[in-house]
Amino acid sequence: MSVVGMSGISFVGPRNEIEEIALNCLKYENFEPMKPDVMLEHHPLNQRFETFKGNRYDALIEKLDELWQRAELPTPKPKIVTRLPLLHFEDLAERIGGVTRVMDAWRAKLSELQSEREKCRVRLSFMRVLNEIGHKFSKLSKTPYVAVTLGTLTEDNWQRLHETSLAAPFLPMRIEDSEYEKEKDRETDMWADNIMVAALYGHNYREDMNKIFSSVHMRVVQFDKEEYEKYDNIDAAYYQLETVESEIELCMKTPARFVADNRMELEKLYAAIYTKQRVESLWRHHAEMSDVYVLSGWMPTDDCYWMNKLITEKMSKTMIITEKDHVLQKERWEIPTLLHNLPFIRRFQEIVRLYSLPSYGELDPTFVVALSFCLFFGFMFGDVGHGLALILGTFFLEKKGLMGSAIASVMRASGASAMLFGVLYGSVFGNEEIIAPLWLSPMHSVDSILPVSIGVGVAFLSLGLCFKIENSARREEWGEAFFSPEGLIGLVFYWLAVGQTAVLMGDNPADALSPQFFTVTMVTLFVVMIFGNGVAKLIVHEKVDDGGVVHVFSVFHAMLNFLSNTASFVRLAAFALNHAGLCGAVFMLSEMVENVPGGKIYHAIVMLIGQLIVIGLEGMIVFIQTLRLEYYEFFGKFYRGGGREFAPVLWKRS
Amino acid sequence: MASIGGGGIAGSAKAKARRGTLLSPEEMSALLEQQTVSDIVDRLRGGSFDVFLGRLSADNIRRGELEFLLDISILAEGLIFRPYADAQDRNLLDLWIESFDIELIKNCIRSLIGGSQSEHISTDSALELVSGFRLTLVDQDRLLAANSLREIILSIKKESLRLALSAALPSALENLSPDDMKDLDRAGFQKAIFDFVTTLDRYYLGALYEAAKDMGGEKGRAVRMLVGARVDLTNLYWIYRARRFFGLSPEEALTLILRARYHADFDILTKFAFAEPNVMASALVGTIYSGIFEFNEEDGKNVALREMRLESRVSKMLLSVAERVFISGSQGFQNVLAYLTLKEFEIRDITAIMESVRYGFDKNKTAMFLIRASRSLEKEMN
Repeated sequence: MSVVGMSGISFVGPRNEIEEIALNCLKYENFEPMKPDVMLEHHPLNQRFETFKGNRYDALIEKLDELWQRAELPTPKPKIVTRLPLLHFEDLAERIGGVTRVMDAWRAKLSELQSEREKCRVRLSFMRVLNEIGHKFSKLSKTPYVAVTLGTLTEDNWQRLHETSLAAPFLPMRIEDSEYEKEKDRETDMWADNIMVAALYGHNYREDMNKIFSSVHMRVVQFDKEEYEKYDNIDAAYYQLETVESEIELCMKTPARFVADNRMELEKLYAAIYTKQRVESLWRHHAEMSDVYVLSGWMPTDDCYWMNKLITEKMSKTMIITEKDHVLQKERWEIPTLLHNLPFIRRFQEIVRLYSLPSYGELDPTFVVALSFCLFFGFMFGDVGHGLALILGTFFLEKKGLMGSAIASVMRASGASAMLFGVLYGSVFGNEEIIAPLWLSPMHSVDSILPVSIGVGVAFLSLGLCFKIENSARREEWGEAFFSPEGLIGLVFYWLAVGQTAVLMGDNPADALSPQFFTVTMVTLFVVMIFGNGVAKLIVHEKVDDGGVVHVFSVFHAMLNFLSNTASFVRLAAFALNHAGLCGAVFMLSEMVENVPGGKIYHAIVMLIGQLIVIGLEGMIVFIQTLRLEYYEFFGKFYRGGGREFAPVLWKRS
Repeated sequence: MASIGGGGIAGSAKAKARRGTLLSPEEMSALLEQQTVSDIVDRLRGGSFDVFLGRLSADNIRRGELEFLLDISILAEGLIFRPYADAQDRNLLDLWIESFDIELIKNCIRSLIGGSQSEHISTDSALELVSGFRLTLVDQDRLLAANSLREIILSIKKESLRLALSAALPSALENLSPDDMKDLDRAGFQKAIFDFVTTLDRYYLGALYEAAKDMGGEKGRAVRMLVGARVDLTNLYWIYRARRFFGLSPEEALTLILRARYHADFDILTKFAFAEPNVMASALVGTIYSGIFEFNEEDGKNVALREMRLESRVSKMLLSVAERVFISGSQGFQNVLAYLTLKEFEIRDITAIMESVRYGFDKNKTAMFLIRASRSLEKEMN
């Protein structure tokens, strides 16, 4: 269980070698770039470097992505192109130019057809409206006093037009036509959200109206005299619309045809541009001075060694500058955190991450969380059937996209633990008569399960205190490690108190420490904690915390916490009993309904619903309780968190 | 009776306390006396602007970067009050802060048209100064990389705004690069850009006013006063500019305005739009905005002076509304918005002083047009 050691690293060399390095980093996804002035803050050359950002290849890759999207094909999954230095931006841009020309021509054609379609629809719609009042479309071209303009515009612009008409001599009418609405194809129709409008005004007001239409961005549909006559008949108008729709359908297939005809070349081009884009993402913070390039970032220390070897062997003109983590920590740089755990443990990183990522240098609690989470969950939810149902349910939810894969993994592990404890408790779907308990049945062994849960709590809290001591030692905060209530003194105090209590309440109370010795020892330890600041200052020349009254209160608070945190673990037993009790209640209810007519069916229904409630509701409650024990009782003892996740540039674009 | 949560009172108290940190007229006067912009920046360092101006190089203060950093400081002020706000207030505050996104979009449009991209290099690092801030309206990287108006539109996340801007953008201008734009007919082009920019403002003020409409009690009344005054003055100002500078007809001018209304209802706006450009002020007689658009003979001759005087009056009107909220003694989130308004005008005054010093403008005239400090400064100068 570990937070991976990091180093700050800068590569200084010619462009082609730096690009090669970037390609390597991309291949192994082990490099998080940072601004060069971070690493080279004190370097005399720092002031002379120009920094750049912006990825030129974004625009190129987007054009290709658009092509594939228009072709309704999945974008290719490119492999790294290794002959990178031979590809220049200008060459690639030129090759993309060909694609762009095709797309531009296609877009222009499609736009033209869509405008034509909109015109056809507006005409058809208005023709239907005119037909209802017994007028022909061609009459619009011959009105002696009133001009009519048809068009479409957004709802917001319609409101503006309508309001302006209150102060101007024109009458706008919104045309509601259900056929028009149905005919809209929202996928291909750019103006699908526009509404249709007819505006009536005097002929002498035409020029002003045109300005108003322009002001409200109305898409005016204009017809010449010939069109008025030609499409006076609704059938002809329908035919015209169908013709245009077919042309649009054909036009929509152009990108797919283009991709099919040029597939290999386009895929090669895509791979090349994709690789370049990823490389430029990686060195987005690079700096440049003449022909010298600087690339800085974070890299796992082990990988720095291999990178150094590679550069020494193959890149004679490149220099590496490395800063070790402890140096950077002293200078207060925020070093990113990368966790490295075994596959089973890795799934529990999400639980830790939910709280906060460990800061660099802090102990990674994931391993302990993995084991303890399963232990606590199983303890409180122990049942073979319920555990199995939880596992299957999680698979289902994950497949449906209702649960993330990390949490699903955690729940499956917890479900397996619940099954294990089910075997120990002898419980299968709440029935304790199918298998015999390998350990104990919670409902029948309250006196045994309670002390066990307290014992688990003591062990867990002690582990938390040990982690605190370790973390403090890593930060060289010796005062905190030894003399604070959560340090070594506190740990001894706690164990003495617990041990004495356990012996006194056990079978041989006479074995307990003598009251005088116990009291003197405890008081001494307590006094040391109270005067922890003074003691720490004397011995290790450090403070423990703020000191004074605050410190005294914090000691008392810590003592109370020992008690309350320990007592908190009673919930392990409590929820185990709760689980058994709920199952018992479900069985009882199902037996009650068995005696009525159709009782077997009701019995099955009550049983099913009851089991689902137990699994769902109790499962959720137990999950929350487990989280609470982890976050509050355990993390509260030692964990600072606040780490920033290591974010290397990945091959796959996000 | 409107209930005021603890957060509202705390935010209100903080706003009143921070009001005391705004630069006094004496301090503004001292800034006006400086010889160079670097001297002004030096004087501002060490105060509330230190965290933003501290990064500037004394030898090479770029105007765009400096103004951007000052704008950031208003943003930071707004974010300070977020923890004190309940859900409704936070929504309003977030909308208020969206003005930063709107200004960034406008700056990008100006850069695109003007051809200067260099001011945005520092945007990223400048925004890092304001922790917890995210641009909500727009994808920052995409916006800053945009090379055409269409690309600017595509960088906008909010669909309603994106559609509105798409509708406002003439297809001829969509994909033009900055080089292509230089060859266009200026008048038509400027009208198109004016349309574009007013669409942004319409969206912003409209959303703000809608949020203010839902607020109840004393807080709602005060917030509507703050936002409503902006809405009214924006409508009047747009009609004025449309009629005066773009030669639009009254009807066209009326199509530009926001649909939100406060005191200046549609009748008043119609009268204003249909009045002859030289006597537009007569349409506002009897309203609270009378006097703003009144000009004397001297103003008639000097267009630049007239426009500066008008802008100053509009700003002072908004300032007086904000001051009135404080004077009323009410407790609530309205005091936060009032304070942010005062802060905004403080920044504008500082920017005006910097312009004045940079270009050697007459200090007396500059003092006349300052928003917060002008009355005291005028006396001092005279």
